[in-house]
Amino acid sequence: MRSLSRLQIGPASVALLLGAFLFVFLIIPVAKVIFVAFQDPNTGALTLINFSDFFRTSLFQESFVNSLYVAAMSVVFASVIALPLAYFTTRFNFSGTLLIQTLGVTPLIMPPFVGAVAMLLLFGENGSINLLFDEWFGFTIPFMEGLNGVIMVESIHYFPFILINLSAALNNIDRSMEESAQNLGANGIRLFRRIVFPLAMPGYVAGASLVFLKVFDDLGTPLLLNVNKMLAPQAYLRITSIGISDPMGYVISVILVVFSLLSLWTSFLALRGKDYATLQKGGGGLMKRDLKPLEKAGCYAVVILILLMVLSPHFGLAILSFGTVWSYSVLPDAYTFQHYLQMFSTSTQLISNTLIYAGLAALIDVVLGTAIAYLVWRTNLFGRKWLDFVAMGAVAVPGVVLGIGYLRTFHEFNVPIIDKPLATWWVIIVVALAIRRLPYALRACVAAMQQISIALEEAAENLGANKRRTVFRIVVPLMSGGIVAGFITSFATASVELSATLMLVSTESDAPLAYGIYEFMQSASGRGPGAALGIVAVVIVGAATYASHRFIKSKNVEFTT
Amino acid sequence: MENNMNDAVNITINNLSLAFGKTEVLKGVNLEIEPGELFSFLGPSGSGKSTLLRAIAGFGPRPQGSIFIGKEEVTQQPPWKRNVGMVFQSYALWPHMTVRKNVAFGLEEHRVSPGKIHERVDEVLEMVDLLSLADRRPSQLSGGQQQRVALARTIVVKPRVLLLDEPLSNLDANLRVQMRRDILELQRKLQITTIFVTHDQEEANTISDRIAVLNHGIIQQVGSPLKLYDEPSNRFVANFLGSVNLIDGTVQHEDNGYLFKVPDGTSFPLGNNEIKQGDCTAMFRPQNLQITRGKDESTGANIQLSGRVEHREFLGSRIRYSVIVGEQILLVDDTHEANCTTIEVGKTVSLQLESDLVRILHN
Repeated sequence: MRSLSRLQIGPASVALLLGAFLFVFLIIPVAKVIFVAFQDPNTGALTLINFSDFFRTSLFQESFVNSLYVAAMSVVFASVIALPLAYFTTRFNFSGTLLIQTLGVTPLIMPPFVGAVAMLLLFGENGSINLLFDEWFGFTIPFMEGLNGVIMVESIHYFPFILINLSAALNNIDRSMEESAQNLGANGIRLFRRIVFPLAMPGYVAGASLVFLKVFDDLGTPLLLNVNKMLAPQAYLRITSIGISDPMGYVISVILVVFSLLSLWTSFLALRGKDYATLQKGGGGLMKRDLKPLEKAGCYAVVILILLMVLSPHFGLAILSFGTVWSYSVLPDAYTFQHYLQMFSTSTQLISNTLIYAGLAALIDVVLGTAIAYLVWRTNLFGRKWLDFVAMGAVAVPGVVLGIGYLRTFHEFNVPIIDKPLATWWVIIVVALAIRRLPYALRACVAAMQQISIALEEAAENLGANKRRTVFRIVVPLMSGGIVAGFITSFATASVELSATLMLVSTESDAPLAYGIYEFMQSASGRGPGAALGIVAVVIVGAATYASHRFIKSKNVEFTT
Repeated sequence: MENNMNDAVNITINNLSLAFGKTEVLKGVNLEIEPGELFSFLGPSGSGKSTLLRAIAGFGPRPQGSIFIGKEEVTQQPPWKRNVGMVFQSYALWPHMTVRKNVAFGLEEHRVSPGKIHERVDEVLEMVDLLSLADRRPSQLSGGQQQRVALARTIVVKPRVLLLDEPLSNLDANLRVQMRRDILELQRKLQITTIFVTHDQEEANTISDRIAVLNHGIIQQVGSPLKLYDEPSNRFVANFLGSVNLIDGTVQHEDNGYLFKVPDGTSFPLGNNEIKQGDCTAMFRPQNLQITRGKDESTGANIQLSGRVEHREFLGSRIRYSVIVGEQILLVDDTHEANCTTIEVGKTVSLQLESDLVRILHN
């Protein structure tokens, strides 16, 4: 690629536009939040007083500790769920492997906050399970009490991250490494401790830090479970009840960002230089042995128990959506279609808003993602790596922080024709969703682009196509599978995003699905319709995930040489 | 933009140097390629031959020096303006387009009218015998067919110059022989200046008008295949173009002519023609030596050596013997005819060599 300035004008102006977008909608809001946290609310001077106020207040101390505790314990329980499953699939010739792989996906199609209330009704103090336990055994287990509830919901939702990372790590351990260790005298626990564990560790740590980050930042689940003494809910409550000038919300934001960065840093450190992918051809993965009948029964028992637990939010939600009154009883009093009818008649705007917001956000994501992927990987532009870096930086910004940042930055900026502050215009929700999902879309686009051999572009240039025509005639069509998959994934996850949405929705008519579900679930009578909406959300995400898989598969088949 | 096929152009490369970051890949290359020639870049991997070819096409880092195609300097031009047709080693056929669309691409970029495009695509597909497969996708074609599509796609835009980057290396041996003949025939028919990059000296030898041998980014020698084979200018070229015997020693002038002396005591006469004295390397091909059983069987050749067979290889048309002479191991090729007896390992043999078949290389 020639570095003649004449050839760079096109790409350079695109890069500048992208940079400007990221600067205005990512860097400035986050910088603003950090700045306000360090600013004295009265004088405007730089100070640490807000932080010292924060740490001296017992409510905030408690919230801070609670958030750390909940995030850590979620990692622990997610690991407890994931470890046996990973072990069964990689160590044994287990015929339920397909079952486990399906298990690994189901939690991801339902955002944690959607199933939270259903979990309360199933596992709460007066929920189905405890009512039965009390009747049969005379005791109850505080599954959902206080922080436990949050931990339970989050672990069940996020364990796939650990399962996938751990399985991949274990599958990458070459059989011959195990064999040579055995050849040298190690077996059983020793083998595990000295060979398998260290090799699987980086993958595990990467998955675990990701789970920690997501639980620490989650706003919707604690709010819905009425657990307010955690960092994210506190930030939300301070800003919405006291106002955007209250410094505490910003202090909390800074803490959230710091811990996000720490988690990402841990994950990065764990994986750096430790690409343990096997260098040998064939024979990947640990030696698998057959299960004896008793062991087989045991394995299946564990898997079914986990399966039941993992699917409980889905069951609960479904039952809730069809139930009339469900409280203090194992199952609802009666069943009805009423909630669905009510939903279809009154909530169509929620659904249409969601489709518009998520659709636009996904479109922005794939356009930006393709452009950044091309600029970073196919040109020699000065400073292009920064585009990738900043776009990826959105992963470290929790939704609630982005929301606060947008409110603060844009509440005085009046949009010309509409004559409303940008912070209250529905478009800002689209931008927030796009920015939050951009890192994932970007990685999908980069992966798709890297599959295209450079010779294919050179051949086009050789035959007379300049860079622009090559991009449109060759690169983008060949990336189309990845682009569509990226679009679908962005769409699916944007349609159920809640953290930034909660901060940015200013009027009922602008509300999308996630917000609607949240509102409904707050009242006992709203739970039914809320659950019906939740099912709609799950169907959207599930269908999109499936479509994305099928699309990628069919494109692969089409282009295989 | 298109070339009138009767006006073949020359290619001039002046003092071309190119580096990837800090690594110098081409160092001061000077080359003049005649119009209508089939010219090969030959060398081992890493020699810079592909880099040189790609530099002519406009790919890679900006080089120092200049490249002229005909009278036009193209060094600063981007690839899409140069009108040089390149066939890539991987063929680079676009998987999302049919054969027809692949071949039509260049014509579309040159704004040829759709009717004309159809006509010319048909014409060139006919030329490479693929018209019946015009609506297939590349993934449905064999390696040889893909290669012909790549060729068709390039020649349909009538480029001034044809650049082939190891076009045969992905084909199996039999197909390679057939394809190189087809390429040669096509080139002669179109009369287009062509550069062919390869690491295979057999390929280069069989089809090139001239060859440039490269090593470590420097041109070692330029000449016809015959000239490079018989009169290599240094050890590298001698070695690369085929099996060869290379012996280090010194040339000394004696009363009855020049003598080549090897440290281990072996020596042989070099005739009376003037040769520069001093340290050098003597070079002669295995097929230049005659081998006979036993000792001292004079056949009139003026260099007689004796030794012992250490190893023997059957190469089909010939038997290759490794013979220990003094401290050297010499390769000797003997034509194999059916019913001829071969010499066993361990036997004493005598070797005869004409002194005018010995070439002296000065380092």
